[in-house]
Amino acid sequence: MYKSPILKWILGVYYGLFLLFLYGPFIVMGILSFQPQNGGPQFPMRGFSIYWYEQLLGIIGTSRAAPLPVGPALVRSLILAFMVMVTSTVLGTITAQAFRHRFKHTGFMFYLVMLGFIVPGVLVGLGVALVSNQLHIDKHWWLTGYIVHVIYTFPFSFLVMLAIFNRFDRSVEEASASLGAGAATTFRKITFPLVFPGILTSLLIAFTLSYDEFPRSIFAGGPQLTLPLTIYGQFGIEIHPNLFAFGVLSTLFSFALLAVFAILIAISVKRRARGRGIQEEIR
Amino acid sequence: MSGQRGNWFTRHWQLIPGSAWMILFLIAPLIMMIYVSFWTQTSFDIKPDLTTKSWQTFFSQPVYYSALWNTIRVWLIVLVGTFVLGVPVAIFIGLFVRSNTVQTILLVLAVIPFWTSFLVRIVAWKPMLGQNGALNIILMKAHIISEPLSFLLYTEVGMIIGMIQIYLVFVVGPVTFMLSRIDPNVIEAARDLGAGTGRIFKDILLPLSRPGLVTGAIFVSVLVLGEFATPASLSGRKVNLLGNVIVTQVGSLKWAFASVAGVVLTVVIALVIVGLLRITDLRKEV
Amino acid sequence: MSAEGTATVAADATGTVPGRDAGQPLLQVRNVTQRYGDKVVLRNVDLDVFENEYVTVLGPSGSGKSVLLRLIAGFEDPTEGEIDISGRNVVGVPAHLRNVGLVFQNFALFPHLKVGQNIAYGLRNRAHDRLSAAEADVKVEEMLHLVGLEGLKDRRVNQISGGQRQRVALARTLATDPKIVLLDEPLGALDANLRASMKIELRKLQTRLGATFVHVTGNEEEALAMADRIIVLERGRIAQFDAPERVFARPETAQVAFALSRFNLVKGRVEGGSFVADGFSLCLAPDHQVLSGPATYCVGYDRVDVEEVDTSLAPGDCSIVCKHVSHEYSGATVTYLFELPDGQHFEAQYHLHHRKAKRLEEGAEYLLRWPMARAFVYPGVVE
Repeated sequence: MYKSPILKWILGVYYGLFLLFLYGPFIVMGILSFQPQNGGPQFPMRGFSIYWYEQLLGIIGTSRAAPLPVGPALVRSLILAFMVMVTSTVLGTITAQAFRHRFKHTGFMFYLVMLGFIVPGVLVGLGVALVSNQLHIDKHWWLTGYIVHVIYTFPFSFLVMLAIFNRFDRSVEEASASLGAGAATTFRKITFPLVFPGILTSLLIAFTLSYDEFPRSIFAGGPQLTLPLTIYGQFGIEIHPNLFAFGVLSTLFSFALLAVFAILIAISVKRRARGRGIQEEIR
Repeated sequence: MSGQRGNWFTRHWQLIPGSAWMILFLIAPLIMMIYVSFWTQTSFDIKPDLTTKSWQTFFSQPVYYSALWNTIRVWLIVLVGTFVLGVPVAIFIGLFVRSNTVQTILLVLAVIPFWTSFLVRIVAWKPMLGQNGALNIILMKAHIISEPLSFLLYTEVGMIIGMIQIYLVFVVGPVTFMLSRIDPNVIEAARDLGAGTGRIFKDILLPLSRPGLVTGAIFVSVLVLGEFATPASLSGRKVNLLGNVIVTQVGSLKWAFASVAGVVLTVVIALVIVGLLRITDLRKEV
Repeated sequence: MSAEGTATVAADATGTVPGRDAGQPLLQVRNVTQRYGDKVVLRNVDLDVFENEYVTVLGPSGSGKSVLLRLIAGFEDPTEGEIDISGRNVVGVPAHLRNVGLVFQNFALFPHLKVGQNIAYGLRNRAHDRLSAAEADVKVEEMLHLVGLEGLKDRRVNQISGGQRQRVALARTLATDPKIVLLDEPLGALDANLRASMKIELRKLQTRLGATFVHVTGNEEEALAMADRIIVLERGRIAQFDAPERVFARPETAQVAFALSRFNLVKGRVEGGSFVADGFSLCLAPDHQVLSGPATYCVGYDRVDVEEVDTSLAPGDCSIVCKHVSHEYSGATVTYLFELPDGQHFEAQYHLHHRKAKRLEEGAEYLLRWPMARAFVYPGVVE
């Protein structure tokens, strides 16, 4: 089946079209973000400028379009994403650790955690909003918003750490104990460094998911909007190319994050590779 | 060998933080939602006097119960669409590309849009699909059409195109992953034993990629069933899903009514997920 | 079939046995039972280990030997019973406070630390009496010298050979001066040559340090060669606990004989003072004749002489005539395989230092004989 060259060729062409389908809107958005001041949110291009980027970043004061209120929202989203990624990774690590011991109802616990992403965001937000109304607790992005974000990212952190611990050789921890190190020291000196790539992955995923989250925040996020909520607010009104400029910058930011992650992983891999190099020299 | 030291608490305390978070902040609010769906809704307020009035309204007014059918219809269309478009890509990367490096590059290219903002991905469709959108310009330049197509944006078609593009990665990723782990020798051996393409597909590829298919289906289902942003944006509010009903009702502080729609949505999701998990228990795949 | 024979074993194990009168035992396991659910892994295990002793625990996989180590190390607590170290009950004391070292079968080196850091780990991170970096460094050099790894301090553990890793694992444990050193199949991961040399080295190290070693193994040769005393575990029970030459001279049960892999075990029954099987019978010493019913006849491979069929027997000899099937040379020994009249196998092993090899014809019948006093009969049949 996989040997048929005609089929392979057809599928190859199809894959190209598929990429076009995936990336086409991004490309169009990227081009349109360089519309000049008099250009609209569609073709034709009336020239080429970075006007909308300047407008977005507040370099140009006056404009026919209202500026996107992204500044404070961006700060909130970054702080929130940071809080969420730490909490989610800690919870995910602890819970995955629990799965290393046998216990009854592992299936129940597994799916309880999975519910965090199975239950649609709009329902999670609604439920938390109802409870906070009832208890007269004010909704804030750093309180109720934070809670629902962790519900969403926790399952992903948990899955990453579960996969890491499944491949983890438990005897090194026992070796540490038999050498006299207590549980906390063992975790700090042995377990943590060995599962660090997993922790890094969990941090990255949780950060990205939280940074982009909005269905849960819409009801539970409180009056001060996070970045995605600000953008969602633009859906109802006339859009301008500044939204595209935002899209381009936001996509670049996501990729930058991914690149930082890739570099961090590469450094830890390289460190081991360097060690191997020394060995070769000695031989 | 599991640790046998100490009592339940010292051995299993690690279960407590995670389950506490989920039970307090997810399960309890969902139960609250069921409870509130039976509260009495007045124009400005809700009272905890139990009634089924909101439920009766939901199932008697077409504008609401049609949202249920819309949700199920759109879910099925998008699910089928993502699989029809995504599985060939997975087959290409997973089975036809032999080099591991090329495989990784092609897969990364296919799933990287997942990494970008969801809302940006919706917005990006607007200049593609509009009357003066890129798609119409290209089709007219190519003389495939003479008049711009008007059914692309602010219609159900546009919404479905957008959703399929956004959720395609969730099928391509897991299915490619499972297919690429299949040892080519297994297929080779089956062919040597006289199995035809159909039989190889049914007896080898399907069972071995099933966890990937189910994972993809769960992702797509969960995300589509809970949708409200894409319909709001790309269908120009013409298509009303359960998610949209909830958002609108909360917007006008009709909490009891929003809760009814919420419970209905929960039941739909539960049925879909339980159905999919009957095919493969994902717990065993981790 | 083992290449080495009893002669070597006996020579290695003739050292004095620190006996039961050497004062208070360092380690006492008292009536320990370990269950996982319904499964009983250890059953009423009792044992004493004295200071400076080298004890091996021999048993097949599933005999509970690793669990016994884990209980002593403190990774698990026994369902019932008590474990005393230096006269103090340690049940409930966590592993890191027991001062019991464990050398793992897979070595369990810390992959992210260098050789020196691995060895210094316990000294620098233990709960009590942590050393400064400088103090630990001195000890690390000392340990590297002890195990012959000078100059490898800054290597990563994935840059050294299997044998070197084994030494690092050992050095890491010994560095913390544990009261008891537990070794979980320490030679299992090494190839045959390395195993032979490590065997000698381990024993030397233990003598030099005056440490107490408890060494778990599934290999009877290792167990016999290294131990002052040997514990034979059989399905969670101690079948025999004695000096190796005594265990070898007189296995207490058929299972022990089986575990030693140096005995012919013939299935049959005792009837009217002699051992009978299908189509033949074997003679019995008078003290064995009291048995009756299903039984296992046991005689060491190297106690059996192969003679021509018409050879006359000395008084006190047992014999049987049977068919020669094949033979196996393995360095210092040659093993002749025979088939008893009912199809069971029987072996005779000649150590070429002591006996001259024979030229036998395959398919021909020979007379096998052995001293009656060297044959044992156990009730029941070993599977």
